[in-house]
This record gives sequence, C-alpha cells and structure tokens, in this order.
Amino acid sequence: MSSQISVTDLTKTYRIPQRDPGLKSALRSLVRRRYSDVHAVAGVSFTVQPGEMVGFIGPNGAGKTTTLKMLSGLLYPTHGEAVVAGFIPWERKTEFLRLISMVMGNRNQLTWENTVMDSFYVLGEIYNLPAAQFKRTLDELVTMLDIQEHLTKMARNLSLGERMKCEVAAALLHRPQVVFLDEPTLGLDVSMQIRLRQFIADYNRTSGATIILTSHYMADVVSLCPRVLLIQQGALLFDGELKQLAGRMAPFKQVRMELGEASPAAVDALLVRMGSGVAVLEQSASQRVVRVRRAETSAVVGKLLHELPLADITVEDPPIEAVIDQVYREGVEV
Amino acid sequence: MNLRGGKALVSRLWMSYMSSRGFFWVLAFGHLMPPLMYMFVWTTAAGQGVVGGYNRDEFVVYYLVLMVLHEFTYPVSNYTVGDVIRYGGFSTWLLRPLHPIYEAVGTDIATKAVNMPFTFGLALVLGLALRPVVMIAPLNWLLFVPALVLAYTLRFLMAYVLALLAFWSQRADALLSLNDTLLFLFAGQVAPIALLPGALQTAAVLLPFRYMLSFPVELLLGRMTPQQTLAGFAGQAGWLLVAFLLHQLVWKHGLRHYSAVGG
Repeated sequence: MSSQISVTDLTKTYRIPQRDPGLKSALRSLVRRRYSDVHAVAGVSFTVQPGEMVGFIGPNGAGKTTTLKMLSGLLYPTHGEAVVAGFIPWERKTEFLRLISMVMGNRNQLTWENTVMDSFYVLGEIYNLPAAQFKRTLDELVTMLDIQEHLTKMARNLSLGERMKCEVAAALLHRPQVVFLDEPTLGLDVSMQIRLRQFIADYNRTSGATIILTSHYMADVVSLCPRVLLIQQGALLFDGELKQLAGRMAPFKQVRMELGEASPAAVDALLVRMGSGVAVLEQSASQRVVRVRRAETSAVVGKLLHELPLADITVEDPPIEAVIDQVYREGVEV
Repeated sequence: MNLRGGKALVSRLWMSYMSSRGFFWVLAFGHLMPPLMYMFVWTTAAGQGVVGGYNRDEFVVYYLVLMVLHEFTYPVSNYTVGDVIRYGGFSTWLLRPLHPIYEAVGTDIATKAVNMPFTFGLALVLGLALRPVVMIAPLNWLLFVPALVLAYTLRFLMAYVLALLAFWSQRADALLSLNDTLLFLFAGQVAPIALLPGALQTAAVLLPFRYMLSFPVELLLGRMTPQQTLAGFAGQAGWLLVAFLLHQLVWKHGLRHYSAVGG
C-alpha cells in the first residue's frame, strides 16, 4: 500500500532579524540588518499510511505546526520533499486543496456575523459539493458532533467549545482524505475535550481519513493515536507506539507496594538503606509508591520481596505525562 | 475560475454586512463628505457665472456623479486584506480551493451592495433639492459604462497591489492612505481636472488617479473631445495593464515570502 503522506528530509529554516536593545542599535538596524537562522524543522522523514491516525508531539517551538503548515501547503520548505495524497503540498493545486483540511485551534472558517449554517453553505459552494453529498455529510457531522441547535445561531454567539465543534464540522464538510488537526482541543473544558476526542476517533474509523494530530493534552494523544511522532528542536526523536516511547524514554520504573503485614517503619528504613536510587513518590498507611532506576528495578524488587512480608508488589511505567514532561525539559535522547 | 464559490462568498458577506449596515452607511457618509463640500465651494464660486467652463448646474451634476462614483469605485476591502495578511487569517484563505482575490472582490461587491442604495438615495435627495439642469447625450451614457468598469477595476487592482505589500511590511496600509490622498488631489475631487493649474493638470493626465474616478464623470458630462476620450480610454487601459503586471509580480513574490516566513 502506498503512503498517504511521505516526508523525506523536510527542513525549514527561518531567517529572523535581530538587534541589540537600545536606540543606537535600532538606528544601526535601519541601515544594516542582522539576521540569524532558526532551524524550525531539521531534516524530518516519516511516512503515514492511508487511514492512519498519528499524534505529533513535542514542546512549544519544536516544529510541529511548521511541519503541518508545510504538509498543508502553507509553507515552502527550505529543503526536502513531501508528498501528501499524491501531491506536492506547496504547489497548492486546487485538486490537492480539495483533498485536505486543516483545523487550527486559533483560526476560524466561520463568519462571525453569519449563522453557522450560512458558513457551511458557503463552504459547500466553494468546494463545489453536489447538493445531495453536502446534505448527507452535513447530517452525519451534525449528528456526530451534536450541533443541530447551533446551526441557526451566529458564530459570535457560540461558546468556545460549541464554536470548535462547528469549526471541525466546517473543516470536514468536503470529506477530506487527509486532516491536519493542530491543537483542536485547545482551551476546551474537560467534558468538551472528551466529546471532541470521541468524535475524532469515530470520524477516523468511519471515513478512513488519514489524520495527523498535534496536541499538548496527552489525553488526546493517548486516547486517539496508536502511533506518535516526537519532535524536538526540529528533529524527529521518536516514531512508534506511545507505550514503547514511555518504555524507552523513562529511565525509571514505579514500584507500588501493598504493605500487608510489613510495618511502615521497617519499609521506610529499608528504602532509606537502598540509597538515592530509590525515591518515595506516594505514601499511605497501607501503601508505598517508589521510583526506581530502570536498570536496578529487578534488584530492588527482589530485595523488597526478600526482606519484607509485602502483600503485593507491582512494577509499572511512570504516567505518560511525567515521561513527556521529562523529555521536554531534559531532552532525553532515544 | 470558481464562480460558484465566489457567488456564495459575496452573498455570505452581503448578509454579514447587512447586519452591520449602520456602520457601513456611516463609512459611506464619510466618503461622500469631501465631494459634497467641494460641490458647495465650487457652486458658490460659480454663482450665476462660469468657472473653468463649468456653470453652477454643471458643478452640481459633476460632484453628484463623482460622489456616487467615488463610493462605487472605493476599494474598501483592501484595508481588510492587509489586516488579514498581518494577523495570519490569510492562511485560512490559502487553504481553500478558491483564489484569495475572491475574498477581496467578494468583500468589495458586498460592501457596494450595502452602501450603494444609501449613496444613491442621498444623491437623489440632493439632486431633487438642488434641481440642476444638464443635458447628457446618449453617446456619453454609452461611453460612460465601459469607462466606469475600467475605473472600478483599475482602482480596485491598484489598491489590492498596495494591500498585498503587507506580505513584507506591517505598515503597508500607509501606502493605501497615500493612494487616497493622491486620488483626492489628482482625481477631480478638489476640483475638476480642467480647473487645476498647469503642472498639476499635466500630472493628473499622466498619473493613474484620474482614470480611477473623474475620467468617467468628465466623459458623461461631455467635457471631452473625441481625441481626449480616446486618450482617456488609452490611459485607463495602459494603467490597468501596469496594475495587472504589478499584481502578478507582487502576488508571486509576496506569496513566496509569506510561505517562507509563515502565516
């Protein structure tokens, strides 16, 4: 099966004007400008199969949105190649634009002073949709997103969550084959995030569209994307399953102990004797949760079981948020 | 050509603007003020006599037609195009299978559809109140139509090119203000071109501004010889070609620049 998205050595370098603070420097910059290069995306390569849903994660400024903008044809790359749905995106052919859609959390397709339905109608006309197809797709999206009551309202009178659902519907009216979702749940409350997430999963399943999603909410990525691409400082650090990422990136494991007949004092004393490689994360009358270096996990668990009459002991990876946080802050390499 | 999309865009914008028609009418009223003021200045100056070949009635008709045409050709959308580029909304336009110029043309047509009934109404009331008597030859009406279409297109395209400079500069709308100022001076608003002193009159004939506004008015009122009429149409066509070439150049490089720095 040929890839729906194929990216090879994609690179984007911005030239940013720079100057020192102060009047002198401001005047000098009028005559002679200084520039510096910012490598927003540095040689990224990956492929995405038709119907796949991929999470694109990374800290702020990592290059996620720049990559999506190149794949949707908004930006020319400095170097590299990309083919999306059989087209070179930045050639911006009309046929290509009909096949893709991009939802950006801070941009909108709806006209504020018009009803939502009016905006949908215009999009149907712009995409030259046959009336029957437009109606069928609209009915499906209205049901899936539960936006019937918003159709007759002015976009400016909708709440952020309501508007976002309508924006998503607007972006999907022409049944795109490739959808780029850039922070679709940005600023939404928990309940709305869950509903939108459910919709995206259903839409991916029923339409077979290829979806690339960026989000800072790990819950979006965990629940929607079997595969993630982790980008940092413009470079692709990881491409694979999220679980695998946690396993490979977290240098620690979490060990959860049900104390049973072991006295808390004895447990704590043993943990102290084990040294700095073991850190207590949670403690209660009947339970301790400690962080242990991955390499030392077997030894620590063996010693705990040997020396203490514990009721139960489980070893688990730390929560994904903690792992990602650590990666973003410390830039651990895979 | 995506005429279906363009048509829908105009109707959406028109509906949207109709809900804020008060704002647009105030805007239109502002545009009408300078021609109105100069109409009263020149009719007073003419009194019962003639100034620069115009009597009182001819000044009234000249400025009433100029007032309507000024509103008809005013490229209001080009201020919004610059803002859309500056604030990143242009990306939304670029993601659609519809050339972004449709948005600007659509905004312009929709604005006109909201404003023109107001402008016509005001001109009619003034016409009835001032009762000028001027005969207009049928041939002049015939020539007036293509001159008006060319004037509208030229004024729109020139302002659109200036608006597209927002690809490079945050302050490109200053050039639009300059464009408006030069139109005020060289497009027959301060005075009919025939009344301008020598050097200014030559400049007005050579520069594009007259062909965006006052040329169709002069034509309608029969102020042009056949040679001047031909030269006027040639001026419109020539400047339109210049505007078109500038548009192609600015669009190509501007889009590349926008695509290089990000929306």
